[in-house]
Amino acid sequence: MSFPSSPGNRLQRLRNHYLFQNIKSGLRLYLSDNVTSFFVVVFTILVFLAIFGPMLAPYQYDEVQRDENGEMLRTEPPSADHWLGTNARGYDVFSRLVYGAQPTILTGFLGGTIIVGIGLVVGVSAGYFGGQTDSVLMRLTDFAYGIPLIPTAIVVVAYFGIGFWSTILIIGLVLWRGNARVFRSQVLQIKEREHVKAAKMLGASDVYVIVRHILPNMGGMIVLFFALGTGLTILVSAGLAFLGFMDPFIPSWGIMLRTAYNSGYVARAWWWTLPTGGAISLTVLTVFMLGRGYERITQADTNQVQV
Amino acid sequence: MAHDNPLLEVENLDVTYRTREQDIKAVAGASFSIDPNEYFGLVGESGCGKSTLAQAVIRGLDENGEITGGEIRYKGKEIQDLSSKEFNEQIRWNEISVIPQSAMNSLNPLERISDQAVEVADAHSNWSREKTLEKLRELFDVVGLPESRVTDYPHQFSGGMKQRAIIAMSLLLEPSLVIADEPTTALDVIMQDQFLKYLDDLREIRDFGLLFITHDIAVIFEICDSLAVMHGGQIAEGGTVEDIFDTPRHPYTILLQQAFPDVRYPDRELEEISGIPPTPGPEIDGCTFADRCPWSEPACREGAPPLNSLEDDPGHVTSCIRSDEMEQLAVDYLADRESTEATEVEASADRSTRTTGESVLELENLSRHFDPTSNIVESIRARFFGEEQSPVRAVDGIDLDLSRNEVQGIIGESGCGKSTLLLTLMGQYAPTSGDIRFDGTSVEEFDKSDWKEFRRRVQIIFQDPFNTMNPHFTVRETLMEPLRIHGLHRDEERIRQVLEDVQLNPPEQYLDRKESQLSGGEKQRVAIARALILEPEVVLADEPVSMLDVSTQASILRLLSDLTDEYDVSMLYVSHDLSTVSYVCDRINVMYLGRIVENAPTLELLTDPKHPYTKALLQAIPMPDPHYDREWTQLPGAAGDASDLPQGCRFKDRCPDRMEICDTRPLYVDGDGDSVHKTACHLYYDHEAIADGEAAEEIEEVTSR
Repeated sequence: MSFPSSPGNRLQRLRNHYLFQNIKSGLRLYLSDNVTSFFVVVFTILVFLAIFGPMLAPYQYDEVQRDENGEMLRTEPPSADHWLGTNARGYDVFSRLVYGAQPTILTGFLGGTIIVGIGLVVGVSAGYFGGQTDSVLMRLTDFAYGIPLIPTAIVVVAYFGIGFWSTILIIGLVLWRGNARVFRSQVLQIKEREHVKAAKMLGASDVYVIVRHILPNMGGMIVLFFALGTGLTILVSAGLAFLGFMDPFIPSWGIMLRTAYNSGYVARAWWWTLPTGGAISLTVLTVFMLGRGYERITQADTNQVQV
Repeated sequence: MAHDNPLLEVENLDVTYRTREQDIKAVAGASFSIDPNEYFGLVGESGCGKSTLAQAVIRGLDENGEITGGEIRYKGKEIQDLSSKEFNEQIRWNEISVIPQSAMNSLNPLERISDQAVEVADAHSNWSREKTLEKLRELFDVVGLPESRVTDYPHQFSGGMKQRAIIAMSLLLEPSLVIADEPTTALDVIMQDQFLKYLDDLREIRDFGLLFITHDIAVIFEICDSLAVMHGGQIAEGGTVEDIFDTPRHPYTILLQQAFPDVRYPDRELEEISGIPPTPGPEIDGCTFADRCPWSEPACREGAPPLNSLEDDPGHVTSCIRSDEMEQLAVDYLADRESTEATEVEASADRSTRTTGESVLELENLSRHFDPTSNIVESIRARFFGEEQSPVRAVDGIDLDLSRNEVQGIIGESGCGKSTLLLTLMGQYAPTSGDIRFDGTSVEEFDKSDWKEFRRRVQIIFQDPFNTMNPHFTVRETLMEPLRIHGLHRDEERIRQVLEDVQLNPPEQYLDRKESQLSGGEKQRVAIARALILEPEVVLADEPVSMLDVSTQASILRLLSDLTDEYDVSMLYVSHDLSTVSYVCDRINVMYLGRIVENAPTLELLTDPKHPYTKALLQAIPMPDPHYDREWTQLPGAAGDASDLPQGCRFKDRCPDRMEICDTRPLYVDGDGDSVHKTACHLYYDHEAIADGEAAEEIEEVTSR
């Protein structure tokens, strides 16, 4: 059968492709929970802001706002021109908030990726190979547990100089420890399953067994820990920024809180601090909830008797 | 069943589970009654509603379960509407007590048995501590435990003793009814036998009725007075065990009986019941067995069938609307099957006369020991103070010779080393000593490509059908995997062929299903297909049917038996269940504590067992026949500890025929010699003849081991 492949035909084929079908049915299941759907919407907005924020913001984030007399608008409360007022330097808070989505979310995703990446390599190797490998890697993990996060970050940053990327890297290099342990225990369980044993006894290579049999069955766990890692990185980096160990020229939300604190208006200028703190919390909550939602459906999927 | 004052009456009971999708009626219109002091069995496949029924009686339903109709009367009084507080005060423990399914784990490990008993007595009676302990001692005596041990902690008891302690506990407050939900399912055949023995003995000493729930119809026939057979939430048939055995009137009962393996007739073909038990919906209107029944009529699906007494026997009830004709129908059906089977058997190679070729897998004195030192303290002690612990001798000197196209069984209690043996064969453990030869080459000489080759030619089928497939794989991907790993052509046609061979028809329907869309039996068929797709020469099977229902068991066993012929493979079938092994195997090895104690052709082993252990195993199997008067096995204690083996014969401490020589000279079943029936027991050993010639050599060998 060789039909001329008209665009409609190709679209039809694409629609029937199992991957598309899988994604479609997966999404439907994912969105069947109201709470999850809500946070999907919030998340979409956040990502949208992160990408298009600079274009949407009414003002430049570092543009000093002045009234018609040319006076600087310092810590003005919200008004029609400045929805969230201005800060002590006369910058528009709303614009800064919109700009701040990008570095904040980028920080989170990068941190989450590093955390899960290292955690997976260490945890899966330790759990799968066992023996000496396990001992060495797990002692390394125990050692990582002994590292106090904030002080170490401060010292390292002080040594290498303050930077946006280096701080994320440091957070990732310390926070993988919890993941590694959980992933290891997960692997220990999965590798006792009979389909894993069967594959091994068929002569499958270790890489094959890990990629085809172990990782797919950790999917829910990986996504959940990626979400947790993302949230945690955002929180910790906001904390570091607040303490002054993040690049102050990148307008992340943490930096906003720091400047608010330093200006001495933190208690009075609520329009400056509350939305910023709220944005951080909302982002972290959103990422957590999305991870939870995913975990819920993967569990439902594997526990279901009949689909 | 008719009695003036029944102890427990269940009438038209409906139990419904509320789930998010829909309501599920797990028990539909169930009725039965138990007389005082009667042992009553409730039997059916998994998912038939038998446990739900028992939970409804004792208020143990899950939160979403609810009694939606009918009555439960205990001693004439309705109890289904009691509040849980009233139930706790009036009924639980005092009147109805429970022997839980996993008796091993239901004692609190942190509390003395006596304290646990006192706790129960405090909650449900006004007995003093002294009275409770007095009572408990009495009961310990009854179940054959030393009275002095009531103050022990559970871990000080062996498995069998815990089991008996649980029986004693359940009878503590002198209940009139004891409910036992699958109490023997997790037990070895010998432990099950002892459990049943004590339960049976109690009948004469105590007054109580028993509701015994199990899937094992043989156990019911053996120990109960009456029974009810359940299917799909309905009571299919009820009556005394003799009535049901002699004149079953419900097709399910008839087929179930035919499906049940019986070691007395290893040549009998096992019946399989097609289909799986139905998943019940919110309402049941029709006989739930109709879809699986060879004799169903349109009328069977119109309205739930009433549970009626037979005309000639008011105590015998059945819910089959064709029960009058059933006797004749069954006779015709079975006769018909027999004739077709007879021709089939002639056509295919008969099991006992199957020609077997040269040996494909040879084990010579194979051992696998495990080092028990696991913690730092132990290893320091071992290293610096020389207090080395003796290793766990899981597999200890096994000789075995598997010929081409032969099916051999290995049976033994759990912990006898049979699983370790399989894993050692598959190269998961390196042998501590001894040799495995595959096709004439020792595995020690294998290099990487030899191993790969070995893994193509030797396949394994596992026990647990429920995680034999990767939940992310379809059937197609599962079967593709062996081809992919061995770099063979991924032939869709081959996959269809092998699916047909394992009777998953039509293959198209199964190719794209995932694990969650297959039943237990179907999953096990996929596992068999995965093992066969590479056309191996040897298949190792690790209890492949032990987790399946009886109706499915039969068909899988038959499938395995047929496929070994069709694919020309040899099989090593490992199990603890002699009755299923005997249906598949040409030859059976009996394993005890890492050693093979007897090796004989199947029929010979079943009819003329030699080793006392084999005899005990055979004797312990419950017979699915109430007229058969089986004697309980007399095998004291549990299997020994593989890290602390006695001198001489390993079995001597439990052996009824122990002799002096057993203390010093163990015997082995070895690969040498041509005798068909090999036994490692002095009872069958010509000591006179040996004394002259080989004695010196023999003794030397013994001391060196």
